[in-house]
Amino acid sequence: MNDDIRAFVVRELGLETLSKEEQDEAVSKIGRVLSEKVAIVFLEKLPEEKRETYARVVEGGNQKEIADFLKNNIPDSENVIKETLQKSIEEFKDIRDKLKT
Amino acid sequence: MGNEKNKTSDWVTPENKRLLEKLREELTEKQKLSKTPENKIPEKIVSAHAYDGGTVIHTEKDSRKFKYGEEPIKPPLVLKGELVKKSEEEKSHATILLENKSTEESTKPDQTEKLIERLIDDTTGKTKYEEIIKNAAKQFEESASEKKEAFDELLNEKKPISKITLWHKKNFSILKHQKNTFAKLYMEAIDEDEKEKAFENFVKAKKYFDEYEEDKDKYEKEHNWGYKPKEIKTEEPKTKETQIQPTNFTAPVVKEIETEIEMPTQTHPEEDKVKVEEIEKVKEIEILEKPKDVIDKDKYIKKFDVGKEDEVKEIEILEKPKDVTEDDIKAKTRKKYIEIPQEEKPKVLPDEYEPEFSLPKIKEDKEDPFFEISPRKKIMFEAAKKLLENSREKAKQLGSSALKIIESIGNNWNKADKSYKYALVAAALAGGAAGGVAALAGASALLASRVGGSTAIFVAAASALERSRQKKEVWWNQHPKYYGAAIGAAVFLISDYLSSSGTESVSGGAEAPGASAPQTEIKPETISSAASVSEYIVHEGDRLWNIVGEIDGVSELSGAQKENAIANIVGAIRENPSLYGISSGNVDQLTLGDNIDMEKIRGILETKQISGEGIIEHAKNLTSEQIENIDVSREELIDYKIHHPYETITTEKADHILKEAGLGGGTIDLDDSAINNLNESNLNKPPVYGGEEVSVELPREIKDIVLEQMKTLYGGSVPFGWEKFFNENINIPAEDILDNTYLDNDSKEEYLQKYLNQLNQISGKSPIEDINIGKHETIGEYISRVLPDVLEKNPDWNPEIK
Repeated sequence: MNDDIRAFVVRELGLETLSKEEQDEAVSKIGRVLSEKVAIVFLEKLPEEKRETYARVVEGGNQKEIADFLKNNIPDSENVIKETLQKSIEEFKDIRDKLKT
Repeated sequence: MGNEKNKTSDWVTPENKRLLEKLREELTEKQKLSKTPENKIPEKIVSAHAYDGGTVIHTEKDSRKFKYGEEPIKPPLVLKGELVKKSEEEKSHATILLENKSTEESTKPDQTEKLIERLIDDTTGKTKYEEIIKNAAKQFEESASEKKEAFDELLNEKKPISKITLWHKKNFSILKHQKNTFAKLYMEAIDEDEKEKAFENFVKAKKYFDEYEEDKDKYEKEHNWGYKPKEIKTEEPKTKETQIQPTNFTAPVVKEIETEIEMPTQTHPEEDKVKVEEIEKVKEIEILEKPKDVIDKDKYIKKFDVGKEDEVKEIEILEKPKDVTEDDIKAKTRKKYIEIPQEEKPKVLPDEYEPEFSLPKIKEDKEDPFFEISPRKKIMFEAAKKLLENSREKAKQLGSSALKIIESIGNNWNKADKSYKYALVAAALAGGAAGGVAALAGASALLASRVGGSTAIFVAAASALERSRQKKEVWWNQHPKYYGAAIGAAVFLISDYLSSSGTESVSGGAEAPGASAPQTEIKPETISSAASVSEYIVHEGDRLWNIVGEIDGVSELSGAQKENAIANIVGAIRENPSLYGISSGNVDQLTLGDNIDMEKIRGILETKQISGEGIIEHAKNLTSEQIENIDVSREELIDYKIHHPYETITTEKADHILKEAGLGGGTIDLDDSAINNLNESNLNKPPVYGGEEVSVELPREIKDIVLEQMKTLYGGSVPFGWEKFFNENINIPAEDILDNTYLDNDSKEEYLQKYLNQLNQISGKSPIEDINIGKHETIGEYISRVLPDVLEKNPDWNPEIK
């Protein structure tokens, strides 16, 4: 893996004090949460009758199909992702800082 | 919890409606037959609960439990769909047994049941059976002894492998004795009704016995009756509320007892041992004490004292109690037989009931002494967990769709490699992964898990990073080449890019399997020298794709053109790698110090023809439509590969896939060898044995040993879904897992990797690999070969001794 990407992530999340293995584990857990967060936000924005379809499309795993589905059903989906990710990262940092104190 | 269950959306499902209809039909039939009809036909479902054995439907009139057809002994013997309505006269438990299948499937007739029905109705068949029944009846006492003996042997045997054999023997003798019991009942029936009933039961019992005899593994698998290693929990073993079923036999229900018991966490080994022994005893007693049909059982005991003796002795022998007297046991046993269970309407949810909607459990941090958690790490994990909890609260409100999505993401996320995970988080930190909508919305984890993090999400991450770089926002200005190379690159180059950054090492020859890959950067100036030198010495971190990409003519190309040219050159080298100085004979496995003959590689540019053109010329002449086709076709093939990870994509196959996708076929515009790259980049290799794909089923006993050893390795438990995962992966070449150095900590792959590494270390034997004939020893083959050595050399790993 690229060391720069690693260093960037570690620094931005404040994981410097952890061992490499612990950093990996933390990044794994955070990444999973981020993925879930984005998916849940999309789900919230979808009309109820389309949620089951979304679940099926995601389960199918066809990237193009998912992209098409979201493009057709959620306006400005890329910004939704961006906002969700930023918000989630901030939320994570807040929780972490509170736990530290 | 109870309130949630009563929400309309929770229980008004097509399946529950079907169950209500079934109930109504059955009760209507009953009423027709009854002289004193009661107004008991329910109109609607008031509520419904799912529980681990089926569904409970509460109507305004009554409650009914619909149990899925997972009987340990195939219906002994209440036919699926038969309603045994509880009444004061009958005093039996009201149950409808339905198949555990979808509505559509459940309407399909069960072949066995149909056959039985035919036999029962067929008077010729009945005559034919007379002689068989007579013989079976004669064997009654003998089979009773056999059954008892089988139980004794099973109890006294400590070796797991031998236990499996004895488990089969026990099942065999149960079914045999069951058949003979009905034969004897038939022979000694006092009236026609009793005779008819005994005949029906005999036919069924014989059928089940024959099925088992024909293929015991299949039968056990189908009826979930196979041998299962015992699991233990630290808490006091909770005596499960016995659910009495109206059947005619004593049936050892092992599954539901065993699966309830969980693993210990932090107790002293000696304490564990004691508890294990105690719980095992309790379980075995429970198995034998679980009467299935009180009425018939009484009849059975009354008529055949041998059977009663057997049961009592079995309990006595199995229990080996410290302070329970023989009288106690007999009293207890008798009590079990005499007591008539009363149906209980589940006004309050019993413990066994589970909500229809539940979120997947978050894997707890390992708090086992084996896995110490530092305070700092704990803070990070707690923060991540809290964040997760927040989103799951929302998910819970959103219903079952959210559950499905979370499951899809979670399952695949754990399989994803580290590079991918860092890339996604990096993209998030850099301001959102624009372009990766689909990836982040659910497909990402699946993609990453199967193609090693080399697809769209990484492009998205790199794109986000690059945009930030262009804005001179952060830190990567010093390495523009990295990110420039990544953006817009195709899967081959992306794969290579990741690999060259250290996720895969070049083969170091003596490098131990599973050792960490060196995190070494590619030095652009070193690679660049490949452009003009006649020989190139392979350095740490080099990959053939990089080297070829730097030679004159190719390096000037970009995007799909460059990809096309590199793929065709590497494809040509693949035909005879050693000719070009690749000592491993594998273009994907360069060895440190290899002298790559750059002259010869450049020669490919002059000699190799693609559609009548030289490689560079061909790449340059790709039309925009062709380039677009390449992109689209590649995506299609990758997508196919993701969903068929172990299938080899040949030229013909690729053509077929593309045609199926409406892309015409052949539009990828790569020659045969280049298509092979798709199979051999970061994608999982198909199991290859002597050039052909094979599928090997690992014997159950070995699987059980593996499971026990895995538990030993990981403090008493294995990841959720481990068995399924293991079964799905036993045909993967073992060295693929052993060589995979970048697995994340809590994935099943990593568990498997560590386990195989242990086998490797203890046995001193590595997986067999012969590249020349394309033979790779699979995980299943490897385990089977080295397990005897492991058990011999390391007693701690021998479940028998443990």
